[in-house]
Amino acid sequence: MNLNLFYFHVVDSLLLTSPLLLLMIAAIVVLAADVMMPRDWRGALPWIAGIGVAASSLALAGTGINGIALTLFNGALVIDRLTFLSDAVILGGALYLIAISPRWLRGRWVPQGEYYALLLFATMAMMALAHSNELLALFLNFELLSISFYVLLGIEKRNPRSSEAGFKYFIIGSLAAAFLLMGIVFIFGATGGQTRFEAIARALDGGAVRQPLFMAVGLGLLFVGFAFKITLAPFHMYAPDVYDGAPTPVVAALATGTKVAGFTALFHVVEMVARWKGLPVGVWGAFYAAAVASMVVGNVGAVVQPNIKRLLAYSSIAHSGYMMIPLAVVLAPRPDLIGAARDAVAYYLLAYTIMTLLAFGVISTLAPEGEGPIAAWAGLGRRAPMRAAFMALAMLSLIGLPPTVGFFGKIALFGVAIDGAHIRLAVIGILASVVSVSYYLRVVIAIYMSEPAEGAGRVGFPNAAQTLALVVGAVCVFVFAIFPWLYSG
Amino acid sequence: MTAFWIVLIPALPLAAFLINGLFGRWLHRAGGWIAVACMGGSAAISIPLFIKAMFGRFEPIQVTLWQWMANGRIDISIGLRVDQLTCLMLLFVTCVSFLVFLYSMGYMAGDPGFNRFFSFLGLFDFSMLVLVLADNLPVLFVGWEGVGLCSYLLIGFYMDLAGAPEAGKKAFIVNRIGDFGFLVGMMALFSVLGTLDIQKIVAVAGQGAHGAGPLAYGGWFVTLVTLAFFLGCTGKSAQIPLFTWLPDAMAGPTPVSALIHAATMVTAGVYLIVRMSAVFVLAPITMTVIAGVAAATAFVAGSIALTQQDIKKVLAYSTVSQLGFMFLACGVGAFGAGIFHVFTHSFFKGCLFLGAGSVIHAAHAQNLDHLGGLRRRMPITAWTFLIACLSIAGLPPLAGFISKDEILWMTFASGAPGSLLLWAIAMISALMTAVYAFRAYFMAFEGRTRLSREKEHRLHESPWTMTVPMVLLAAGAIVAGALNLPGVFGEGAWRGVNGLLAPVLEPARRVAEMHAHEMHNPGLEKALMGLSIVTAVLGVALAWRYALAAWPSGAQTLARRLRPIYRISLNRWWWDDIYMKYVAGGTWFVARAATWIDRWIIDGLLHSVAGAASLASRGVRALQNGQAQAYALILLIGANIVIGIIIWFK
Repeated sequence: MNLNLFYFHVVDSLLLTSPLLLLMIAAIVVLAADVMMPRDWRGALPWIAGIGVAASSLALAGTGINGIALTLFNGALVIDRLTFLSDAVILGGALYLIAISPRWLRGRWVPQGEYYALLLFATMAMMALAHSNELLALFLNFELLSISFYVLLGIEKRNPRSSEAGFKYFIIGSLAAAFLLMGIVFIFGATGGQTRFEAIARALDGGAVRQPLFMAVGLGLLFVGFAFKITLAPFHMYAPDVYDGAPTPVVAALATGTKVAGFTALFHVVEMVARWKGLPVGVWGAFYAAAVASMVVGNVGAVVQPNIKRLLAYSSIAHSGYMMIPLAVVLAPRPDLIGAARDAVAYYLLAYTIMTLLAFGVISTLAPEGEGPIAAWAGLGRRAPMRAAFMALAMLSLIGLPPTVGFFGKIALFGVAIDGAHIRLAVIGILASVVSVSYYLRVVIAIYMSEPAEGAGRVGFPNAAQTLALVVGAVCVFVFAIFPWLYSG
Repeated sequence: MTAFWIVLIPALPLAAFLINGLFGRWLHRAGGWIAVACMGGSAAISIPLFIKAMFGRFEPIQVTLWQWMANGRIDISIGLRVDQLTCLMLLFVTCVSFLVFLYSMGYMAGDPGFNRFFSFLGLFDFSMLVLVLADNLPVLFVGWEGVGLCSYLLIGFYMDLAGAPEAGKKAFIVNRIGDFGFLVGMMALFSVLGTLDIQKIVAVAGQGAHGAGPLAYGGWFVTLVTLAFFLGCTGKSAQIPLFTWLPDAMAGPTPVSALIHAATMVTAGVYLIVRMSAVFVLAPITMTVIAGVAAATAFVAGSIALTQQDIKKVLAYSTVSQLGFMFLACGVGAFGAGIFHVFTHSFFKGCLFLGAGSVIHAAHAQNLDHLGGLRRRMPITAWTFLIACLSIAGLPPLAGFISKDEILWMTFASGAPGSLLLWAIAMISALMTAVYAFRAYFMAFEGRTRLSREKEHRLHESPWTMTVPMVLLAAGAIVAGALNLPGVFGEGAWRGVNGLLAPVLEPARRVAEMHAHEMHNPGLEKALMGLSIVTAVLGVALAWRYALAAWPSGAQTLARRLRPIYRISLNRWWWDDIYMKYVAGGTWFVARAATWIDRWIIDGLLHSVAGAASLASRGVRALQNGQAQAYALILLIGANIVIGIIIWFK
């Protein structure tokens, strides 16, 4: 490469990754400010973090949405339509979490500077993972995200359950990372030393891969690594414990941002192999099985779950199962449906993030009583009417009732299955949604139809930032349902 | 630019809803005025639109806002369409709503739920306007469901009043049965035609007129689809067998009754049939069913209205009966006459309800037996009520006479099966209309007062916010007929509403020309017109005799002499009792069976699943001491399964 061209490439790449760089800068500023500012000024930390995310969002808006994919840093990262949308969702979620965090952290033994800095690092890692376009970058970003969460999940040091959550995530995460790395090695070997996704796709197309099975096993191992990140059954086992024990805002980030990033990256992997004519049918089988297993395990597991955070953990497993449907259909193989699958997954990631964040947001404002058994939510409709209504709304949207985002998201996902003539997948998805009605409505029933327990008085008010975040979240449940073009253009 | 103004028509009531819903707590009375202003804005846009459609050159306006759902075969856009029919609907929906909003400023003053009330009113009108403006069935359905929801919210507005929440629920559930029909019709159309765009459906129906395509004339498919849609209409527009919710809906505040009856809800069913008239005319069986059901409804409801004691109940059954007239017109193919009766009805029925509200507001009584002689203290209310009564009774030259007489003549002349019988029933219903309307007027406003001394002392005319809407609606009840003078008095000089709607009803007319044999006999038409005037006068005279001159002794003698008929009317034909006993009872039985299954089979299953799960978890726990290892083990097993699948199916 010509030196001049190289120079321009680097400058371009830096400009286009400015949303990520700004997050990193903000995180460092937060850390420095935490050390240098007087103790009383700690209240400024979430503002610094929020300004960092806002600046990053502005930079993202500046890069604009791209019809064609651009590769950066010599092919390590990619910017396309899907990454733009997932970046937007991740940044919106980060802003939401920064808004609900300060009140939740009050009176808890959590180092503030580290908390916000790690939240920013995690956000950056999510975006980087979503942009990954090369096997090594994929692994690095995967680990960067994992490491941020190892610390974040256990950041409430005096709470043994928080430490336990961090530790469990660490053990299982390391194992999953090993599988991911193993998969990378297999693919590297099978394609004759290719790491960039386009190069791998070209090698597959050109028939340069002599051992298709070798490649397929590599994909399977890679998939195991991803399955951990996006909590697909049977790689989900850690989720209920981790969601239950870890700090609620961190869990919200884990349940939403991590999945947005993981699904975006996995979609790029699927895109990479979708046009490969020699794709072994077993890869499709593995995706299919994981989709069905997640829908079944997630929904059945949630039915008898008495704890709200564990219930949402199972719910998130189930929703990952729904989102696997388009990926499985594309690998059927139906490469002609890539566009439809991309739109469906992108929209569902948004929908899932909105409704899950709304639910976790309400939970965080009801801490600590509301973070445990659902029984504690009894009579909330009278004790905290606004938040009760928001929680009910989140539940109805998670069920997938019109006119909420959950409904239109599910139409999009199941629509891909129907277009791809995988009616069975759509039917399983719909049946699984029917099962989900029972446990989501359990929460609504507790809120509106159960008498509050003896001595349960009024719950504390949320502060202004929390109220604003919740209202915005609830409005989004409708806005993106009625105006889908606001998101997908 | 036009698109902007058209979007503004539904957007303004939506703004009223949001402003009052979100900030009502701080706005108090100002919030109500904002809602009135919003509604006035909608009306201010709709009036010029109507004038342009009526008198100028007008091309239908299509506004496609954005694509809403696109998925395989489904492609639904948020689309609005303004054609001549829409213009007419917009005119009276927005104008009557505006007057009701203004009236509510007086009526609801001081109510603790003042802003909640106005926010619901705004949502109600928004839904109705979406329904009227929709260019495809799903968007129309959004409005259709929206008015159902709002009627539930508003009927049950007085949550502490005995019966109000139940009435709200009843309206919702009965409407739900109708909505089922709408949904079935919509899905059936989509599965066969692959589109839900009304214009495209009408185009397919155009082929059907020649016996081609999926909507072939008289085919079973089009018959079933139209019957399903008609079931939806019987729910929304309170026809037999689903009319029982409307009288109960009187539990809501009176302005809401006025809104429901005159502008925003019950007219939706008639509108839907006229909107889809090109499809309905292809199903002669459905048309006969509609005409039969409509005539029966007009008769049954009219007969019930004769003996009701509650002034609002009289008006409620009157609406059901008048809706019967509108559907009768549709059933015999006179869609223009049906819509025109909707139009005139909105003025005189709106006026009647506002008058009744004014009475309730001032006298704190709504039982006719306890009213009487109110005219001296409430002259404006009395005079406007009288004008509206003259109009609904069908005395020339008021609006009600012109629209109702057109329906009667069209029924007589349509050549539809059993048209003579339908006409006879309709004539009797018209007679009963005059009787019940003037019975209410005489008993409330004339004669000696039967109010308690204390209540009479506090009697007063209502504030201007209430009287001005009444006066304006009464004026409408007089002159609205001028928009559609009968053709026998000089054809062609004045194209009227029938001329206005001609482009919309053109496909239906073409089919009717092919298959029906309409009668043209101006002499006979004039003779029948004379007969209907005589009928109306006779009705007024009967009411005067039994509700005023010989009240109560003469009325009691009459009731004794006609005891069986009187009992049928007083007990409302036992519709509600039959529903309560057999339909609700049957539902109870099913529900109890379901409870049994739920308790003993499903719960048993669940408990055994839960038991199995806890057993399994106990088993897993026995395998391990620290859980993380077990998770890792399962992850490894999972990975082996994934690799196993890949190698097995290579």
